[in-house]
Amino acid sequence: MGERMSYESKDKQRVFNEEFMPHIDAMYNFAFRLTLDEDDAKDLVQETFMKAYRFINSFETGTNAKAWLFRILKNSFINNYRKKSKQPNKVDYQEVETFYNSDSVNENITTDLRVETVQHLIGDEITNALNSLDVDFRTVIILCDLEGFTYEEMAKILDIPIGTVRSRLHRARNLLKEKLKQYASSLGYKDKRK
Amino acid sequence: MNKQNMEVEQKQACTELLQLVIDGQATPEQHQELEFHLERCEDCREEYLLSKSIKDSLRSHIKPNNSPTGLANIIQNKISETASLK
Repeated sequence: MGERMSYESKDKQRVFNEEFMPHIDAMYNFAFRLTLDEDDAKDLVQETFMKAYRFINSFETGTNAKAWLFRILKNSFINNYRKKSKQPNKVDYQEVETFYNSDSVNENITTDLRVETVQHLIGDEITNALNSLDVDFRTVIILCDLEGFTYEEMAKILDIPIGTVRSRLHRARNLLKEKLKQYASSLGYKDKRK
Repeated sequence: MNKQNMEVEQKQACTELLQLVIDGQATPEQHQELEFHLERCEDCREEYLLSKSIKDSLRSHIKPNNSPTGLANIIQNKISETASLK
């Protein structure tokens, strides 16, 4: 179990430097993949670290600092950038939460996307496909596949139940497959199996 | 329960199991269960290989960058300022 305590000013800076600063690169990458803008990402990381310092007494030493910081960053992102964005939130939660229903499990996406095709795609195509997903779907793929967080950690970072993490991840991956399939066909990759 | 509903339930169970294994969060028993099933179900085997290849592609193509030069310094300076104001 972690220990929650009130830090002396000197200890605050030590904890900050030892526990938080080592995650700056991961934080920047997460911020950039959310905002898709270098300056916004820098601002978001700075804001997150300032908040982390201000709320350092609610960080329990010995617990997962990276997940704690990611949670602050994600909340800051929602507060700042989503509000500013004119784009409406496209995630239809009804659709997300009910992925285990018969319609979505019967979606037969995989039959027209082949492993060989995926292996032929280059980095830009993969990156573009990921970036084209709505931010809520993009986020679960980033956290799971790129950062390697467990479902439990993701649930804490995103403030949602584990079941929702898993259903959103499933839906996100199906959407990504659709995008990859579109890229593949626009680039002229032919499915050998007809 | 009719046959179609049973198939749907079976597919759901496989989808969940597959996700756990791909994400490295399955128990050894769940691993075995999936292995056993994949030997018998071509659809799930293809789904497994495809999902795994997409995850591998994401990891190999989207490499982490370093944070921009100077960002760590800016943050540490701000923190020092904040700390000295107290």
